This record gives sequence, structure tokens and C-alpha cells, in this order.
Amino acid sequence: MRFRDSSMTRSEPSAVPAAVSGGRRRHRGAAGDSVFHVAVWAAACFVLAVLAAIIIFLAWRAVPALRADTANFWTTTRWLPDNTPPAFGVAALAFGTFLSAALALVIAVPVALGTALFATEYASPRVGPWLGYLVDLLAAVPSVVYGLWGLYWLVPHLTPVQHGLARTLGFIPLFSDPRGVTAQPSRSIFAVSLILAVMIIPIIAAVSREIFLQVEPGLREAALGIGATRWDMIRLAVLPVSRFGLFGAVMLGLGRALGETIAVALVLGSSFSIDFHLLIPGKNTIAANIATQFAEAGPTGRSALIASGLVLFVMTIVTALLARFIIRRSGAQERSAIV
Amino acid sequence: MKRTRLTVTSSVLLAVLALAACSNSNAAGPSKYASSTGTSAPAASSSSGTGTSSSSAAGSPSADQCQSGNLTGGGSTFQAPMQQKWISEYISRCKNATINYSSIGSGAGIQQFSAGTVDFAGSDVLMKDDEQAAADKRCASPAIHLPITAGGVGIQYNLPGITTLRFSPDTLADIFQGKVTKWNDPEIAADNPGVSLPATAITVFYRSDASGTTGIFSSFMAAASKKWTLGTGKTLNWPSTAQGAKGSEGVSAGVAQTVGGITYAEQAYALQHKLPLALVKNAGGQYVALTSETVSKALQGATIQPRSAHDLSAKMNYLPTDPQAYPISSVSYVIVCSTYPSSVSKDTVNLLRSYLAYAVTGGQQFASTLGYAPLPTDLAQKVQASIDAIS
Amino acid sequence: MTASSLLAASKIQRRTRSRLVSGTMSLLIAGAFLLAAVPLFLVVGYTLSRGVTHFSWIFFSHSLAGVPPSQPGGGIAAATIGTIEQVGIATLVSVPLGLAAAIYLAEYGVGTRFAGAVSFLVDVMTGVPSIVAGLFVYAFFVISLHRGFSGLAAALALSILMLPVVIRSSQDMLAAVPTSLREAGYALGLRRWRVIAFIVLPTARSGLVTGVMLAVARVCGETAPLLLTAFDNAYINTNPLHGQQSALPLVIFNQAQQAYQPAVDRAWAAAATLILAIVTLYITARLLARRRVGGKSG
Repeated sequence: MRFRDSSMTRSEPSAVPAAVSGGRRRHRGAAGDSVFHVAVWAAACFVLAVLAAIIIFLAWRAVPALRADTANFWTTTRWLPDNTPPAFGVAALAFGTFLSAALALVIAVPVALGTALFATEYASPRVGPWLGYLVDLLAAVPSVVYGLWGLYWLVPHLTPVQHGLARTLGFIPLFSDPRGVTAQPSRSIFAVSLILAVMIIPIIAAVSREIFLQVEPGLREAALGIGATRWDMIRLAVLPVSRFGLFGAVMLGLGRALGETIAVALVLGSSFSIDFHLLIPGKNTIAANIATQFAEAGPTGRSALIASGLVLFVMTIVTALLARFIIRRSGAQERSAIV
Repeated sequence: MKRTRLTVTSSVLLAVLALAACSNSNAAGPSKYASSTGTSAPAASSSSGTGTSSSSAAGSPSADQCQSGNLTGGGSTFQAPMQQKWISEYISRCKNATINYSSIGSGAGIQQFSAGTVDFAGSDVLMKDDEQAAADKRCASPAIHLPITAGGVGIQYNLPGITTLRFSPDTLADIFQGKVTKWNDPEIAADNPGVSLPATAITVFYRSDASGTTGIFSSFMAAASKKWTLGTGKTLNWPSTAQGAKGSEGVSAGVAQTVGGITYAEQAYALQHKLPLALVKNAGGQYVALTSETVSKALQGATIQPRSAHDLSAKMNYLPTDPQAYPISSVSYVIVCSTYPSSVSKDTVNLLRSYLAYAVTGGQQFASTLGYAPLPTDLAQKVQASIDAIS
Repeated sequence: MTASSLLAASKIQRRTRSRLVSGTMSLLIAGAFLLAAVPLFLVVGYTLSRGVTHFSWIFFSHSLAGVPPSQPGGGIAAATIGTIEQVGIATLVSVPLGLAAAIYLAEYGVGTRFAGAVSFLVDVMTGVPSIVAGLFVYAFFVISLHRGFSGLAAALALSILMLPVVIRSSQDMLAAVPTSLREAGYALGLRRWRVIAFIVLPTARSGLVTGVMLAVARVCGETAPLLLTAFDNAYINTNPLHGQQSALPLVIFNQAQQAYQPAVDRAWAAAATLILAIVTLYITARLLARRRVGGKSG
């Protein structure tokens, strides 16, 4: 196959005569170029069509419920779409989704980036990649297993941590425990965010690691050459150049955190409420709500769940736009195919 | 890189297919789907085409009642253990039958039935008007409810050292609605004289996934207590102090982990998690425990309100006066077409009749070991008659 | 103190501070790695400890047909075949398609509005809840096209989940290949597609494998999209084009929710099997990818 036999030197002689003599060789190369170009362009078109079709389909399915809703879809916290009359809103769901994803990112991004840096910059070149692959194995665990592990192992073992936080830092509303429930295993948004963080660490770490590996060695050596410490070198030579790739990595992790269904459904002690207490059971996410309600939902209920799924897309869009804006503002000198 | 991945993937695929071909794959005889294990030609046993012969009193169906073919059902998780047991017994005797039951929930089962993707549905509650209309359309004939098993919804709790606890419906209403928050509340003490109750906080767990079990529990509460304001249905507007958990397993595990927890779930889960079940006061003034017999007693009061010929929709009596009747009891139904459209093969219909006939006769003996209750004999006979009329 | 000695002193101060900062960061970064490794051992250890004890020959060679949750026996033969076929088809569909689209986005479409729109849409779709992907395929494929439940429907739902991840990660990897390498290729007179195929792709190979493996590992363990597409089957069904199929995540999910210990034991054994299988697949892919590579590691 071509990938393996080709080398730059072997292509060279074929290209030079083509450029010089023209004729059949140049034609063949040009045909190959157009075919390739059309093929990848067609793939992009197809992907666009499929993804757009999914969104259009969901929007179409969501409309009946939105029309039938008697309560304000954006501000209501209750979820009773199959009542007469239907009254439901995504306020509590969107809040819980945002909170769990944000917490998960706050925990996962530093850990994942640290892992990637450790594997590429600090560990020896032979061992480093395998240390990276070790962390990748976190992605090998099925989401339902994360849910079961969270339910049976993590939540009970987290009790002393959550209780300790509530007792020592309870004056901060985030960690307060008004009803005194943290003395028992608490299936809180904090526990869920921990599990989500563990699930997205391998994604962010793996992609970041590959991005770091692509940084030209020359840049690193230049920084070290002027006397920079290792951390300085990372800060000056590695991170700025990897900015866009890291953005992609974090977006992938965020997407996973937003869309995780089963693990959250199994672990979260859900309720339809909005509050900032991280350590007590309660709150709910859009994806988990869809998973738990869909089987028994009536026609309006199903339509309402799909509408909540669309809200999830809206959240992703807003985040993506915001992130692109921030990256553009921070100065885009690097070649960017993404933004 | 791509080619090596392709090679690896295809060789793994081939290896697994080879393994499938060589191994004796199914625990119970060859199936219609296994590609190369044994013969799968259905036996042309049309002699017992009507399947009216009474099943033997013993567990398995007798040989002459066996049908062959392919049957798919799905729905209620409440009755799923019984369905799986019946399937196991049936196909151990009837080797040419292939039966699947997926516990996807009553609502989903009805949905799939109306979509034509399953042959029968399991449901804990009767179909609503729009669901009935859709099902009738699928069948091109009335879709009927047939009670197939029964069980009680137990009140599980976690209070170390307290193995017997009694509740009246009003107390339950106040607990589950969040008005009573501590175990040593006077209301609970009134139901349990002489029991020293701790000052632990009560943690209520409810089913976050809409479920027929919630439907049964809420129907009981609405009928038995004037204090109940949450209404009936598979989803309720629970107070924010209560915690939702997924599945009966979720609520039971939650109670098992939380001292002071309380929830409602099938009896089998209390046994699995070693949680005690409370006694509930029935309309006759007695505190009754949840057993196979007390559930059966409660079923005696059920009245049949047929929606069409052969339909056996039942209205449960949640206010039984029999001193040995457990009030939170209900039947669980299978939903079938009274006459199947021609798109469903004759083999499937015959198999359905044979399987359900077995379930409602010989199959009932497994109920108490699994935490359910057998149907009362007269009800079972009515069900048998309706099964015979399926075509 | 003279000016030069002041300057020297401040330089030394800065250098020491720099070294302190660097040292602290080294500790933190090593700590981050440990923090990431700890849950790995916890989760995998917990699953294996609960699952491996229930491995048996019957468990791997038999299906669950005729085995109610309350009884021991039976196994994951049907589920294993289902998962392999569904994930296999999903990979065959989404990897070539995703890679081609990523090549377009990273190489040909840079700066165009079309590519920007596709890239943006891909970002949005990375967050699709897995159950919604299943819903879409159910409505279109299973119901509207009257194809019924099948392994293929499940594979399509899994592809919807894989595609954004493959595209996004591949696009990043391709874009991260230094421009100088491409320019070197053009300078030597190579055609554009040759530059991409023989310079860019091999350089990014390790990253592309990473992206694909992440996507594959994820969908191997997804339950929700399978609920309405494969619909589970107690019997072995080797035909992905027709008829319900089982899958390992479905079996784990169903059996773990039962009230009977034999079912719960089977769930954990299935979970242990799935993890071990994915780990093996991952290590194999890494080893195969590495053997071709000359200079650059990883």
C-alpha cells in the first residue's frame, strides 16, 4: 500500500519530470488531485447533510410540545408534560446540566493537561507515551460501569469528604448543608461531576498529548537555549502554539460531559430544583432526564424531552461561540483550520 | 495504519463468527437466529392449533402443547422476572420456540406494541385513551388487557434495629409528601406503640424514571388517604426534599445506603438488599404484611371492567376490608390483539396462545418464590378463555 | 551596592524564583498525573474484583436464552457478537467518512465559510446525548423505513456518536502538523493530495489513531442508543442486518438492575469482559501503529 512504500525521495523523481516535461504524468497527478479533492469535499457535504438532518428532525419533533406547553418553557422548573394541561420547563434541567459540566471541566482540565504535559515533557521519551496510554484506558470503561461504580462505591466512600467539606466550609453557600444530609451518602451534583470529570479526563488528556507531540522540537530547544526553566519552556514554547488543539480537546470533553446519559441517571439523586448547594442530593440534567423519562412518556412527553435535547444543543453552541471569541481575542497568529 | 486496523478488525470479526458457529451457543436448544447451530426448521405441529387443552398442573408445559416459532414481547419491569421464568420453563420443554421479553417499561412496551415491533406488551396500568386507539389501529381489532400476574408494592425502610414497623395510609401520605421529617414523629409513633423510634431524619426516595410501580403506589394513596395531594400517575410532582433514583434497584440501593431512608418497590428488591418491609393498614383496620397470600386476598376484590369483548381490564380495590388483604396490590397485564392482522404469522399467534396459556396455568406456581402472587383461580379461568379467543 | 551587582543580584533572584516556580509546577504536574491514574485503578479494580470471579466457560460460550434473572448460568455469547458487529460496522462507517471530512476541513477548506459551518456543526454535535442519537435512528430507520430493530440500526446510532469525535480530533491532529512540513513537500514539487497522503497523514498518524480509539472505546460502552435500535435479544443473532441483537452494555445495564444476585453477578462479569476487551483492543492498536513508525515516538 502506498503509505508504507512511499518516501519523499521516491516521490521526488516522479514529480520533477512531471513539472519539467508535463504530459501524461502531470495529467495523472492532476486527476488524482481532483478526485481526492472532490472525495473529501463530498464527505464534508455528506457529514453536513446528516448532522443538519438530525437537528432539523429534532426541531420538528419538538414543536408539538412547545406549542402545548402552558408554562414558560425557559423559566419553569417543573416537568409535567403529560399532565392536562401540560406544564414543563427546562430551567432546572439546564441549570443542572450547566453546573455539572462546568464543575467537571474545572476538575478535569487541569488534571488532564497536567497528565498530558507529564507524558510529553517530563517523562522519558520511551516511557512517556505509555504513561499517556495508561490514562487513556479510563476511556475503556463503559459509561454504565461508571454509573454503577459511582452508585455502589464512590458515593458511600465520598461521605466523609462531603461531610467534612460541609462542616469546615459550610459558611460558603456552595458547601453548606441546610438539612444535614451529608452525614449520609449524598448523591450530589458534586459526586456526579467527579464521575463526569473522570470520564472526560482521558479525552482531553489524549488529544492534548498528541497536540503537544506535534510541537516542533526546534521551538522547545530554542526556549531551553536561552536559559528558560522547563516550566518556562512549556509556557513559552509549547502552550501558545497548542492553543487551538487544546481548545478542540476541551470542546470534546465538554461535549461528553454535557451528553452523558446513563452514568448521571444512575447516580444522581435527582430533583427538579435550582440551588447552588453542591454537596446535597438534588438537581437534574437534561440528558439524564431524557433517559429516565423517555420510556414511559406520552406523545407530548416525548416531544418535550426532545425539546430539552435541543436546549442542550443551544448550550453547546453558546459555549463554542464564546470559546472561539476568546481565542480570537487572545491573538491568532497560528495557522488555524478550526476557527 | 488504516489497513492494519482493518485487518485486525476483520480477523477479530472472523474469529468471533467462527466461535459462534462452533459453540453450542444457546442454553436452551437451537434458535431461529443462530446461523449454523443445529436445525431451525419449525416443527409443523398444527395439531394443537387452538391450544385449548388444559396445561398439566406440573411446572412445564406438556409436549403436545408446544408450539414453534418466534415471539417478541416487551414492557413492564414489574412482571419481567415472571416473564423470564415462564420463557425459561417453556423453551426448556418446547425446543423450537424462540421467545424474547425486554423489560423496557410499561409505556415503552405499549409504544412498541402500537408500532408493531413487538407481538405483546407487558403493562402495570391500563392504556390511556390515545394509547388504546393506537393499539387498536395496530391490531385492526380491539387490543385487550389480560391479567397475567400480580404483586404488591412494598414499603422498604432502613432503621437499624427496628425490624417491624407499621404505617397507616395517612402517615404514609405525610411521610412521602415531606410533611413528616423525622422518624420519631408522633404520627409514626401512633402507628407503632411501644417502639422506640430514633430522631433520625427521614429520606424519601422515589422513582425518577416514570414507572407503573409509582402508578400503583399513587393510586393506592389517592384512594386510601385524604391527605394525598400528589395525584396518581407514573410521574408525580414530588417535593424537592425527596430524592429521585433510577429504577427499583436505584431506590432500594439508596435506602440501603441511607439510614432513615424509605421508599416503595417490589418485594424482591427488599429481599435482595436485606431491607425490612413495613406493614400497611388496610381499610379493615388491620396492619398487613406483604406476602403472596395477602396479595392474593386483596385481588379478590378486583372488579373486571371490560373495554371490549374478551378484555379483562380490572379495577383494583385499594380499600379491602379482608383482615388479611395487603392493600397496595395490583395485577399486571399483557396487552395483545384480540385478532392479529395478517402481517403477523400464524406460527407467532399460535405460539403466543400456547405461551400465555402456560403462563396463566402452570406458570403461576413460580409466583411466590419470586415475590409475586398467583392469580385467583376464577380470574385465571377468565384469562384462559380470552386467550383461547385470540386469533 | 553598585548598579551591576544590584542587577546581578536581581537576575539571580529572578532565576531562583523561576526555578522555584518550575519546580513547583513539576510537582503539580506529576501530581495531576497521579490524580488521573488513581481513579483508573479504583474503577477497573472494582469492576474486575466483582466480575472476574464469575467468569466461566459457560459464561463466554452461552447466551442468556432461557435463563431468568433469578437463576445462575447463561452468558454473554449473544452480547459479545452483537457488540463486535455493531461497533465494527459503526467504525467502518464513521472512520473513513470522518477522516475524509477532517482532511477537507483541515487542508482544503481552511477559511471558507462552508468549512466553518461544518466545523461548527461538528462541535455542536459532540454534545448530543447518546439517547438522542438512538431516537433519531429509531424514528428514521426502524420505523419510517420499516427496517425494524437490528444491529445495523444500532451501528448507525453509534456512528452518529463517533463521527463528531473522529472529525474533531482528526481535524485538530491534522492542523497541528507544522506548516513547514507541508511547504517542504510542495517545494519538492509534490501534488497536494500526495502531500496530504504521504506527509501530513503519516505525521499525524499517532494522533489519528488516538482519536479513533477514543471514539471506538466510547461507543463500545454506550447503552442508551442501543435501547431503541438493537432492542436486545436473549438469543444469538449473527445477522446485523435483520432482527434484534444483544450487546454487552445492554446486558450489563439490564442484569445490574435486577433484584436477584445471579443476574447482578452476570452484570459485573460482563462489565469486566468489556473493559478487558477494550483494553486489549487499545493496546493492540497502539502496538500495530508503533511498529510502522521510524523516528517520532507516540
